[in-house]
Order: sequence, then structure tokens, then C-alpha cells
Amino acid sequence: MRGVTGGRAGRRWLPLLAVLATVALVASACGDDDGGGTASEGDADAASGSGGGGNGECDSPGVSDDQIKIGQLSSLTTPAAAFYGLHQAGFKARIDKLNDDGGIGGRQVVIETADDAADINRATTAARELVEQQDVFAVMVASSVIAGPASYLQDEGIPVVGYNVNPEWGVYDNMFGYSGSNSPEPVATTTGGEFLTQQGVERLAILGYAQTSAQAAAEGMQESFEAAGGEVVYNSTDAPIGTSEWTTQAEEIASRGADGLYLPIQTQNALAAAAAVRQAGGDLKVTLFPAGYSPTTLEQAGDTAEGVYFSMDFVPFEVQLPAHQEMLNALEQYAPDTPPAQEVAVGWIIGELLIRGLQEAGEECPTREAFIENLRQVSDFDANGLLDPPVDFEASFGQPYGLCFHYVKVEGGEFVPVNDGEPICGEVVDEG
Amino acid sequence: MNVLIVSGLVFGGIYAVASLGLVLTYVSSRIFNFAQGALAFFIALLFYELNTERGWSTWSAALVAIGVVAPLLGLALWAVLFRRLSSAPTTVQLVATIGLYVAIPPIAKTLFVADEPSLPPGFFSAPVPEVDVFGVTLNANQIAVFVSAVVVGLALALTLRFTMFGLTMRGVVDHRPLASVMGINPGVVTAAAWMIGTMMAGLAGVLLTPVLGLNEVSFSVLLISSFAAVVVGRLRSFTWTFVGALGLGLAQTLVTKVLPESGWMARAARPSIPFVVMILFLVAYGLVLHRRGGEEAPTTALLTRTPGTGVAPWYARVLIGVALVVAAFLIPELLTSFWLGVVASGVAVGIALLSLVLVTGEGGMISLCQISLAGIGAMGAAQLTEFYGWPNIPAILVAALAAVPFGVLVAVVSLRLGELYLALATLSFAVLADNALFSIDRIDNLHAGQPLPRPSLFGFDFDSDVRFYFLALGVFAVAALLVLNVRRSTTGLTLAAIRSSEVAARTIGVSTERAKVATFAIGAFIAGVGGGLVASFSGRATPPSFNAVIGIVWLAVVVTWGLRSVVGALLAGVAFSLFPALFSAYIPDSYAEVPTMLFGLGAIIVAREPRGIVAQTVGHWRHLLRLDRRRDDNDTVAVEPSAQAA
Repeated sequence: MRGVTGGRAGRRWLPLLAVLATVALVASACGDDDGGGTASEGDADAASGSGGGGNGECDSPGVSDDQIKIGQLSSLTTPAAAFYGLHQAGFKARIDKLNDDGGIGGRQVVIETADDAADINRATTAARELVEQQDVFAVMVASSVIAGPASYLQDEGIPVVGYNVNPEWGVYDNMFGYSGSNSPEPVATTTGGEFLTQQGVERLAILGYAQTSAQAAAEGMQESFEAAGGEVVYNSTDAPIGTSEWTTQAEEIASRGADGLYLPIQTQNALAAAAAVRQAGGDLKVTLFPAGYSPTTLEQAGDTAEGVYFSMDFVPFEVQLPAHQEMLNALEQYAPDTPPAQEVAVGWIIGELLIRGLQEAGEECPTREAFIENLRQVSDFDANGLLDPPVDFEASFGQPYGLCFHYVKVEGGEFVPVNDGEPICGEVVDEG
Repeated sequence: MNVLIVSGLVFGGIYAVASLGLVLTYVSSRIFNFAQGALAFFIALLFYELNTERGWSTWSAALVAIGVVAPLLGLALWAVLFRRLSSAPTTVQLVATIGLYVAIPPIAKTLFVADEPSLPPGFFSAPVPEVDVFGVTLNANQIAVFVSAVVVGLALALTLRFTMFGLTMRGVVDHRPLASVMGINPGVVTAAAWMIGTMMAGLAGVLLTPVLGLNEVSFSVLLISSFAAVVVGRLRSFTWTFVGALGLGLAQTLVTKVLPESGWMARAARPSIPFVVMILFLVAYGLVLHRRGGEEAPTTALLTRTPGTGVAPWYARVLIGVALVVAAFLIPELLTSFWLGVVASGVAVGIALLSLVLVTGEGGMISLCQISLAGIGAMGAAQLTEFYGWPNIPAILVAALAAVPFGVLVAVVSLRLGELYLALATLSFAVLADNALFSIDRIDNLHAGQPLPRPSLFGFDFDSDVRFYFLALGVFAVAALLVLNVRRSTTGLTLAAIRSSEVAARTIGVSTERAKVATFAIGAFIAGVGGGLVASFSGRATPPSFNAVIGIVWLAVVVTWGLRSVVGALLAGVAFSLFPALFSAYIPDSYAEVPTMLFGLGAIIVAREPRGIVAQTVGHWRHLLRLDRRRDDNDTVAVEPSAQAA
């Protein structure tokens, strides 16, 4: 027993050290709060503090003589990251290019990222961290879990740009979606239903994840398709996010004789679902993915993507506008490993929107109030032609997402624009 | 229909491979490896890293991951951890494997691919070859599952029955000392069992990858489901485990035939089946075992040593108390609002963790469902405020009261169970709460939950972070006093007697049932209040924040900081909230997993020093300062806890 005791004496120091280390960690964290998190931030603070009497005279939060700090709130871990991580890549490429081109009003735009791990409570903490700790001027949001942070950012008067899939984008007037707004309550548009019936679909099946945006898309499509005279034979949005095991659902879809399948889920899993329906003996005329328009999809899916339709709300790359080329060049330069995927393009357009907002906010000394007020007046935001028709932020506020869509179909291993790349636009489904 | 049977057999086959490995390690070492799913995740991620990220061929990646790394990992775990724990009390073994369960996935994600791959390939990658068998299209990955299950099952059966190794192993399982006398080294047999068991975990992981993707949560929940098969086999029968595994898989898919296509039932029923089965079997065993006179009576837990081994003199305790109060008032002065908020929410978590101090620390009962009781408090309060317009504080108190019957139910069901079965039963309750209760549409609201505003009392709002901090501290102090009073009450003394020896306590006429039920009831109320405050801090009560898997982390954290100490619960709560926030603020995102890793490792370390960091450190300081003259050495005193408690 004595020997054992002697051997353990050293180990008894470990927990003590652990406690001391914790205290030190906490203490250093507290100390940093006043001095700025890192050396560079400290410098920036000092610059803005002492520069008050210099040429700047700008005391807007997050704005120093040579920098504007922007927060980015995204789901960067968990399965949601496969989607929102791509937004980040496109957004960052646009901002990198902006900075190389001289920034905004001589200031470089610096991005501070925060991960919400696709968890609402984490999202609120992350938003608070960006605003209160990082002192950012505005926030870019690419996430589905924004109920908490949205009301917080509204209360603090922070300008928000991002991916407008949740109803909050149509509730809070400080939030600007890349393609406009969203409806506070779910509202269907005629666009998708009319497109599918035109392609000859009569019996539609819908399969999605248990996730606000997917369920809204599924409900919207059901109403839209029924308004166009079709029958929805299956609609399930209960699968946990990330599931790729679709056997039971596929069995039902096939046995109910569906001839169309709408899949508001991640592309890879959507391909698995389509394959499962085939395995179960289903005979589908049209499979429509509202996401996943990307060369990666073609590569990975091979023949299985043949005949699949994709929808998007920007002009597809195959139309080859100068803005497309600009984006492809920038991706090659700043994010060489990133494919020009649908979500990357959306991230890029969010970058364009941020730049527009900062220009509207006053280049000399941008203020949050001016950003919000002036960007709301903009009626012609087209991201250099990528958005057709352009967005009118005043008129579109509270209007549903996706009144106009572009469609492409996979033919011979390539994307081919439907309707010559022109948008197909609908209207709000009449509830009566 | 045939497709459903195929799908059911796929899940059943994966359950079978995983659960047979679990039974193998259990019978040979008497340690129930909670971390089986975590090991499966580790090997599956390694396989993905080698195969997809580094471009190795499928077969070389599989050979290295499952054939080389998995057995080495099993051997290492046995050598470092399980060998020492083989004669430790069940509670300690459980805590160690729970620590592994928590620590391994973050280690895997830090070592290998950081981003979660979408649709990772299994043994066969896309396009997966397909064949028609009896009119059903089977893909190669599905066939791989069937082949693996059959081969593993047969190999185990044949090896155990017909080989020398099998004979040796059966000998060790039957009578370890006798086997030793016969010149068999039980250590070698056990080590081999751990190596094979880990290989089977890894095989199950790779088989599961194309079905579920590489998400650690869905992975571990699915493999926890396979525990039900192990329970069906009563932790020793390979045949019944195999049958149970296939039956579970089939039941889970065939049930969809009779379920609606969407809505609550569709979501709840399928994942709940294994846990309902598990609870039914456990209850049945409890009844049968009781009639036979308590075959698996709980062993005295090392965890429940009284911290009073040498109580500090009054002046030292006053000093510590004053220091704590001063610190509590200094913290708001030192921290910015953001960090104060992080600490405040940690204090709220600490309240919920007090229920673990009571139920597991005092009561000696490992409960993995305290988080669900906290969730009932949180989500019940949100329902009352959002849909019935209740003010916040009465809503939280009433919702916490609503958690009490659930706590009592858990207690009544698990009264007769030994420590391991109790842990499995409470875990089942937690998963059932996630699947069946928190998934109700108006509670879950697509994981967004319902709003729960911060409290106000007689017109005084606790809306700012400072006010909420003091409110949480106040509630914590009241709850801590409650726990300390229970410790000193008749119930507390009864619990101490039970911890010492339940049989002896019953013999002298102590009503152990009443004490246990009372403990669970009070614990449920405390957990409910804590849960309500946790949710109201962030403004929403959301089911993912009260997930069973997080509950396992809770246990690991509170064990690390001291399961018998109310101060430990406070520090554990603050650590649970603060560590991830600190890492996210100051450390690159690639290390985001480190806090969880530390929580798990903490529990593993504590399995060797069961009173946690606080008790250990205090004891050490006392020793250093010569305050404690009655006991020369705290560490060597591991026996006779009742002597001090009484």
C-alpha cells in the first residue's frame, strides 16, 4: 500500500494543475476583453481610438481608418456545413477580390467568422460574440437556425445580409436577402408547380428533411403543384438532417405510382433518394432538385444525374455573362479548390450585396443606420446581371422566396438551360 | 415489402456485428463498453480518411483500419484502462467507458477529416453494383452487411465451441480464478477479446457509413440502439443477441408500413422501438431477479466515498465560503456582458447538474436521463408561457413539478436494477424523451423550439446578463442547500446505508425504495428548474439542447469536477458553458472539438480518482497545509464510507 501511495503522489498534482490552468485561461480571457482579442485587433482598436482626431473621424462600430469588420454567422460544422460552407467560400472570394481592388472607401473588409453548429442557442451566442466581442459593423448570415440571432441583431440595429430562406428575412427590416426577402408566413408561388406540370408530371412525391427551410419548400411545392392541377401523392419531411437511408420512403413513393420527385435536401442525399426510388421500382419522369447545381454533382453522380432538373434563382453559368466570367476568375484566384457550385454563386452574390450596402452606407464614414435605410431604397440590385429580374428591396419586403426561377436539365453529362436561360416567373398562389 | 425486409435486415445485421462485439468484451472482462459506438465512429472515419481523402484502395484502407488499427486500439485501451478497471466497481467502469464515449469522436474528428462528408462510401463506392435476388434489387453494400453478420456470427460460434482459444475463453468466463490455477493467463484472453471486439465495432462502423453518413450523433444513437440486442441476450448469450439484433432491425423498418407518412408518430415510433424493448426486458429482468433474491445486487460504488474523510476545520470552511461569495460578486465587475452571460448560463446548467450530485453522487444511482428531466422543465415552461400566457417564473416552477412524476417513473422502473442495467434504463428513458416527447410538433417546432423569455418577478426584470447571473446564483444556492439538507436527512442517511450495502440496509429494515424514489423526485424538480433557467437564458427551449447524447457529456463533466460536491456542480456547469465559448473565441475552428474531448478525458482520469477535481484538490491542499491531521493520506482510504457517513 505504501508503495502505491508513493507512486500516486505525483499524479495528485494533475488536478491541481488543471484547476490552475482553468483559472489562468479564464483570467486571460477576461483580460483580453478590454485589450482586444488578438494583437491585430488591438492595433485596430488603437488606430480607431487615436485616429479620432485624424482624417477618419468615424466612430461607427467596427470601422477603423483602414478596416471595416464584418461578422459571418454560418453553420460551419455538422451536416449543414456541407451546404453553408460553400456559401462561405463564394462570399469570401468576392470580399478577397474587393480588398485586392482597394476595398471600400480605402478600407479593407475583414471577415470574422462564427459557427452556430446548426443549433439555435449556439447561434444566439455566436451572434452576441460577433457583435459584443468582435465589434463587427454588419453580419452576413448563412444558416437555417436564425430565429434567435435575428431578433437579437434587430434589437441591436445591426445590418444583416445573407441567404433568405427563413421567414425572419421578411419580418425584420434590418435583414437583406441576396434574392430579396421572404414571407413571414409560408406562402406558395405558382412557379414550381407550373414548371413541373409543363414537363408532364401528374403525380408528385416530395421528400425532405425535418428542417424549417426544407419543410417550407415542401409545403410550398405541394400547394403550388396542386394549384397547377397535379396530385401530390407523397409528402414527408420527417427524416433527420443528413440521412441517406431512404428505403422505407422510396418503397412508399414507388408503390403510389409517383411520376415526379421533388427533393429539397442536400444533393448527395437527394441522389441517394432518387436511386432508392429506382431501386424500389419507381418510374420517374422528372426529378427536381432545388439545390446542387454544381459541376461536382455531375462528377460524382455520373449517369445517375442524367435527366435530373435543377432550379436556381440566378442566371445559370451556361448563359456565360461577363459577371459569370468575373466570378470564375475570382474563384480560380482566391479559392482554387472551390467548384462553381450553386451555393458558391449565392455566397458570391451575398458578397455583392454587402458591397452594395457598404457603398450605400456612406464611403467616408459608413453607419449602420445608413446601411439599413439606404439599401432598403435600392430597387435595381442585379449583382452585375447575375440576378434576373433585379431585386427591389422595398417592394419585395415580405414577398415569398422564389417567385422567379431558372431551370437547367442534365443532358449528356452537361447542364442545359431550360427556356434559353430566361427565368420562369410565377405569382403568389391565390388561397381562394 | 421485400425492400423493407432487406432494409430491416441491413440495420439488423449492423446491430448484430456491433452487439456481438459488445457481448464478447463484456463476458470476457465484465466491462460493458459504452463506447462501442464511438470506437465504430473512430474506425469508420479512419477508413474514410484513408480510402476517400488519401485515395487508398478500398481493401487496403479496410485492412489497415479494421484489421490493424482497430485491434491495436482495443489492445491499447485494455492495457491502459480496462485492465486496471476489471475489478473496479461497475459505476467506475461505466464512468470510464462513458468518458471514452465522449472523448473519442472529437479525437477522431480532430485527427481525421474535420468536415462531415456528405454521402461517404462504404466498402463499395458509387456507382454501387447492384444485383437482383428473388426480384429485389440489392446493392453491394447491403450484401456486405449480410455477409459480415453471418460470417461474424458463425465465426464466433465456431471459435467458442471448437477451438482451443474458445475453450480457454469459456474457462476464463466461467471461473476466472480456476482458469488461472489451470495455467491460463486470463489477461491474454481478455486482451484478445478487446481486440476482436474493437474490430467488430470498426466493421460495424464501416458497414454503417453508406447507410447513415459519418455524423457522430446519428452514428452513436444508432449503435446505442444495438444495446437493446445485448440486453435481449442478457449480456451473455451470443445467439439471443444475434436474434434480438435482427428482430430489432426488422421491427424498425416493418413498422413503417402501419405508420402515417409524416407527423409525430412517423418520427417517433421507429427510433423508439429499441429503447422500449430495452426497458421492457430490463423491467422483466428486475422482477425475475428480485424473486431470485437479487442476483445482480449493486456493488458498493467507489464513487460514493464520503468527502467527509477528515472534515476541514470550521475556519477553513468559513474561509472557503467567504472566498466563493467574494468571487461571485467580483465576477460581474471583471467580465464583459458577453462573458458574464456565458458564465450565467453555466450557473444555470450547474443547477441542473446538482440533480446529478443528488441522484448519482448521494444516491449512488447512475442516471443518464437528468438532461431529459431538465428538458421537460425547459420545454414545459416554454409551452406555458407561449401558449397559455403564463408569467415565466410560475411556468418554470410548474414545469419543474411536472418533471417529478417522470423522475418517479424512472425510479420505480429501475428500483430493482443493478448499476449497469440502471444506466441502460435511464439512457433509454432519455432517448425515448428525445424521440417521443420532445419531437411533438408544438414542442419541437422543427428543432427551433418555442421562445421562453427571461424571468421577471413582481415587475422586476432579470433581462440583463448581470441580473440573470445573480438570479441563477441565487437559485443555485437554494438548490444546493436543498441537496445538502437531503444529505443530512433520514433519506440521506438511508442512501449512505444503501451505498455501503443495500442488502445489509434492507436486512435491518431500512426502506430503500422510498429513499431512492424520493431522491429521484427531488432530483427531477431541481433538474427541471435548472433546465428552465438554461432555456430562458438563451430565450428559447429547443430539443437539441437537451439531447440524450449531451446528457452523457453532462455526466462526464460533473464526474470530472466532483460528483459528491455542490461546488463541483457549479464549476462543472460553468466549465460546460465556458470552455466551448473560450475555444470558439480564441482558438481556431479546427480545435472546436477539444472541449468535448477534455470533458471525456476528465471522466476517464476521474475513474481512477473518483471524487473529482475539486475534492481531490481540496484534499491535496489540506494535506499540503497540514489542515487535515486526522487522515494522513486521502488517497489510500477507499473503504468503509459508511463509517464516516454515519
